Amino acid sequence: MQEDRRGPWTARYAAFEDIASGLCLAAGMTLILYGVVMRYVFSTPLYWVDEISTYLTVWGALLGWSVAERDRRHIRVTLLFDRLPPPVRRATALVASLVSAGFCFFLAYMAWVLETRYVTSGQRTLNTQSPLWIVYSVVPLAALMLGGRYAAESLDLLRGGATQDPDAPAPDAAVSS
Amino acid sequence: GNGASAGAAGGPIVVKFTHVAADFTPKGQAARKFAELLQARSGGRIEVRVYPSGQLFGDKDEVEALQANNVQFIAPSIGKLISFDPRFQIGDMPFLFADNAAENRFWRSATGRELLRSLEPKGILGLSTWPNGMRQLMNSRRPVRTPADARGLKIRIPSGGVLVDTLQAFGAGASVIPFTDTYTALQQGVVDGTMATFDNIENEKYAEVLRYLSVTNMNSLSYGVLTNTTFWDGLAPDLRQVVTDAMTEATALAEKLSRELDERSMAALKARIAVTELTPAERQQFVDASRPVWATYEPIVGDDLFAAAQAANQPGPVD
Amino acid sequence: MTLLALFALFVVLLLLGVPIAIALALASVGLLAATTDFTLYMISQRMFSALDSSALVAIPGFVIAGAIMAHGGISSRLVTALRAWVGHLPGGLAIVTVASCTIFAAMSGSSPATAAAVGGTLIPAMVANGYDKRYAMGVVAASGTLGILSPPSITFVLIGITANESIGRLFIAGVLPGLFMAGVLAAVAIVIARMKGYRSDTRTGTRERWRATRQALPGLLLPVIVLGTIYGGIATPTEAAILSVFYALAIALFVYRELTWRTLREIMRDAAGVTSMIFLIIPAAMTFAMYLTSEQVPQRIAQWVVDQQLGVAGFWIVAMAMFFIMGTFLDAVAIVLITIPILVPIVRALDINMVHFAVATVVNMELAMITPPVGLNLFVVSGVSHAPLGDAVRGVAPFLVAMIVGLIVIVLFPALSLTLTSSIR
Ligand code: NA
Ligand code: NA
Repeated sequence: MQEDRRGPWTARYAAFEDIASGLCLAAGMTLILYGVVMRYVFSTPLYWVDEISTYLTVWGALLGWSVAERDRRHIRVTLLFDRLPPPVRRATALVASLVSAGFCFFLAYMAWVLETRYVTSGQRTLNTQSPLWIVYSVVPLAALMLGGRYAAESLDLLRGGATQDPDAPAPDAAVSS
Repeated sequence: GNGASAGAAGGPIVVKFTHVAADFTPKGQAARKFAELLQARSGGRIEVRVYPSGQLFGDKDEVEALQANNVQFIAPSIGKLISFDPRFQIGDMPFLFADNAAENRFWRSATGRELLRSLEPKGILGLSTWPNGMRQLMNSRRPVRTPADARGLKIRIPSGGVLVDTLQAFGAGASVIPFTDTYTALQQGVVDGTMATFDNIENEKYAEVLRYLSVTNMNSLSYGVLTNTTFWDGLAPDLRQVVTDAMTEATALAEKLSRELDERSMAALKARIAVTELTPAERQQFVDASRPVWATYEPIVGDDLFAAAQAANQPGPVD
Repeated sequence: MTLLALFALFVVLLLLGVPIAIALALASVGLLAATTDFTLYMISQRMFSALDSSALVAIPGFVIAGAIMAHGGISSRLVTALRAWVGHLPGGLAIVTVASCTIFAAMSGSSPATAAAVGGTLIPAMVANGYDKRYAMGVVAASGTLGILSPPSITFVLIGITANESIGRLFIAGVLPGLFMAGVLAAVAIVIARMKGYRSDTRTGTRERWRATRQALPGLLLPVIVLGTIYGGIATPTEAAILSVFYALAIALFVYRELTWRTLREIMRDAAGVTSMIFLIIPAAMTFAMYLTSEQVPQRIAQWVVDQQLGVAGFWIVAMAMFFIMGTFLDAVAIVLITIPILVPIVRALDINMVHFAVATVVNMELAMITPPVGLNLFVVSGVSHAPLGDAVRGVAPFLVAMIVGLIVIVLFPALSLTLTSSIR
């Protein structure tokens, strides 16, 4: 287990990211299993399973955006990056992190505007009549969390932290094992 | 962005019409007819781009895209508007409308128009309704003549609500299966059948994988042709008239094509699979079994809508 | 001019090391903002609704099942058994990979799901047996594309609906070309493996083989059980992917007893990492597709093809080239929905068999899954094996060339697609 030099809070936050995305994915899968069992074994199809399980899975995947970044899973083209001298690499990595953070915060803002629209219109889903602002609330949250990861990476680079190989896990990636 | 603005050099107003049906369906052809008429009669001041097959926006986002004025015309099933107001379930009510034309008369009545107008504060303006048809019951197990025959069948539906309660009233089960999985699910018997209009049966090829069709005319399915209020308000009055006239002709075409398709499709299906036409007594059993559904939804949808719907069953000029 | 500048921006962002998904989304937002009057806040709606499809749930399903198999002792036993039987043969494991993808293709309507189902177990297996990792990723990425060529196939369903063609006939038509493509991929895999000498040194004895097989049996039964649920009418292909998760979980928990709460969290984190990477690229790619569709770029290209008044041969060449080029950056579903309705009249006018044309189109859409910059199967194998995209691209290159040759054969010999369909009304 790698010791995290920035204290237990980053580890706790990482655990929160893992658990939030993992629980949503697990809940979505479990619900689909429940739906199959009810339909096939008990001949009682449930009309709401498809909608809710899809939303749970998408929530899990979106909340996992930042988990994926923590583990350096978002795919990059490393063609040029790998051939740069170290000081240029640092600057390049910084620009890339800042641009990514900028996009995520922009997306979070756009999603926030959408949320206000959904609250005003009172629009609901077709199957379960769930308010759409609740369904879509994951978008600003996920965008903020991913943006937060890129902001932290940028700070780390500014403070002189080691430049990552773009495919190596970020410094606080390993909270366990 | 406000969408649909005139080009910088005073070019034509570019408007978009998106829908989820294939280009060759009655809806697809009506949309193209509307676009052609609008383009020709506006003297080139309006350019219409039609996007069929859900290419640009689909079931999950077309209404929001309309509200944001990213598209200016859409034609979803009216039932989709229940995401704003549960009263739009009126068309799904079992055995309420005598036929699809009655539902269209309902939407043109004072009550129907008022319901559509209630969406205007949300940026949505109803221009017309186009027919899709009446929903029929198809399955792979047995001929269905009475609710007792339907008991125990698992039926695929596109989304929950009235359809679930209706099928449960017959002792059948309702399963929501996404469009892309439906053909395979019917083929392998994950569900026993589906409810669909002749138009949908034809396009989604259900007769390839199901053996029995009951002409139940269970409920009515119409498309609402909707536009964006900001776009509409920004149109010059003469262009608005051009739009209205083009829509009237496109609606007439949609109705003609839909009627022809229903007849042609029924004949073609009879040659391929077992088509069961119900006697009045058999149909009445379905009507009786589904009455409790009306009771459930009357407080939600409102007595006035039920009354107006029943009034629309009498052919003739609307009020 | 703006278009060119923004395309240049996209390339620069990519080279700087900005994740592909974010570069793609940023370029789309830039294009929409600069060249259209699109209301921008709807980007967020688009990115969510692009994922709001339960068919996509099969991808996380197979990714999670793969993670459970890897952490729960299932994969290692499968690998031991497979190596015992075919490890000493040059390219033996690669053949197993192609065969597994062919089997999983019959359960999945989606190619990335097929690649995810097989990649998690068999890439590490090949690497452990001395194969080059790039080659291992290439085999899986390429044979994973078979998912849309054999039934069930979401791509064929959409072509059937947009071209008004029998879906059942299309499904049947895909079977022989699917087996043919599997054969082509297997042949290339063997040739390369022989050239590079991919094999283990020792040959395992018969008793040891059967012992390893017994131990791996629960894992070997997974495809049987999942196929059974689909063809037995128990589950949709999407649901079957999720059933595989619970089957793998049950084996790991109750048969091998190798799972702890700690490893469960690792599994979910591992799976969330891959799923979320893919579920960021898909909405970004769909946003880009929305821009192009909205500006009618693919529509105009397809219309241009129609307007050339080409003969049969010329039309085939131009249409297939167009699909290939669009496939480098557009998703198969988008390509099919946009271009097929425009091409159908000309296909019929030239008296080309629509089913044959549809099969060739789907083979082309298979290629789209493995061509950069947007090739979902490349992302899946790169994600499940945590390797750079460049390695996946280099690994898949020989298979891509082989599949192009396979496509040409399928175009030239309609019988391959049409023989079985004569049994259908
Ligand atoms: Na398949
Ligand atoms: Na591609």
